[in-house]
Amino acid sequence: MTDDDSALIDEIRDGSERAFNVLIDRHQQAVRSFLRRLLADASDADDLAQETFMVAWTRPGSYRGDASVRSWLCAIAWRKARDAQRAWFRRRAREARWARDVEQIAVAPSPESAAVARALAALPIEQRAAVVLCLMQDFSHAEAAGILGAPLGTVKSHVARGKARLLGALGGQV
Amino acid sequence: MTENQTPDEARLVELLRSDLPPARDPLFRLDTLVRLERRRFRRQLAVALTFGAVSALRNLVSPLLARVTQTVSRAFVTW
Repeated sequence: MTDDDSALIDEIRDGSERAFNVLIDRHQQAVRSFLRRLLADASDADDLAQETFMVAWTRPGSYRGDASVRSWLCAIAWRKARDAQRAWFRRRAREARWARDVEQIAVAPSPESAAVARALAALPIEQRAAVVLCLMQDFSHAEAAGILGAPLGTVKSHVARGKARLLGALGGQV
Repeated sequence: MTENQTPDEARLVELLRSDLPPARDPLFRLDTLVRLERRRFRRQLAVALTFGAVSALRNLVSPLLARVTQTVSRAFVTW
């Protein structure tokens, strides 16, 4: 898959839209689910996911081949999400929407998922990203550190703390 | 559940992985391609407008420049 992906990136460098289509099909789920867990609002997350693929199309040269293409895409998505969070007004609006969405989650699937969603929302965004990458997306700590551009120790600590808080929230529901 | 996971951890991972976007989503791909085309169109439009504006400006300025050049050269000849 990784070799295949690298070949896709080479084709995208040569302007192949077919390769770009395959790249989207292959990785949209990973990128969108990562962003959805980070941002809560599904349409904002999908918007940033599309922007992520735009970067993959316009700057395929930024893929250096030292990590998987999925890692590279998640790293782009992470920078997009962090930049979006940094914009003060958008963050205010998003937090308000996030609170509303979490309330909706609380009604929708199960008390357990609602509790986990609330606990996830309460984590700082770096911690949330580390937890989602390592627990949900199966990235190793080292890969997550590469994606987030953070030291390995920091990522390990984010995952441990985040997991403890989520388990605490889950324990409260059991 | 992996070997090192407690049942609670396994449940947590399961909950985190619930409600994922579909593995195949042609609509998302289409939206992304539409966005790409829109961006290309905007870029081409901006280039066309810039060229248009530059040539309009040139057409506007060149008769004036020609007149100024003529006047200056005439002044030089008289002098």
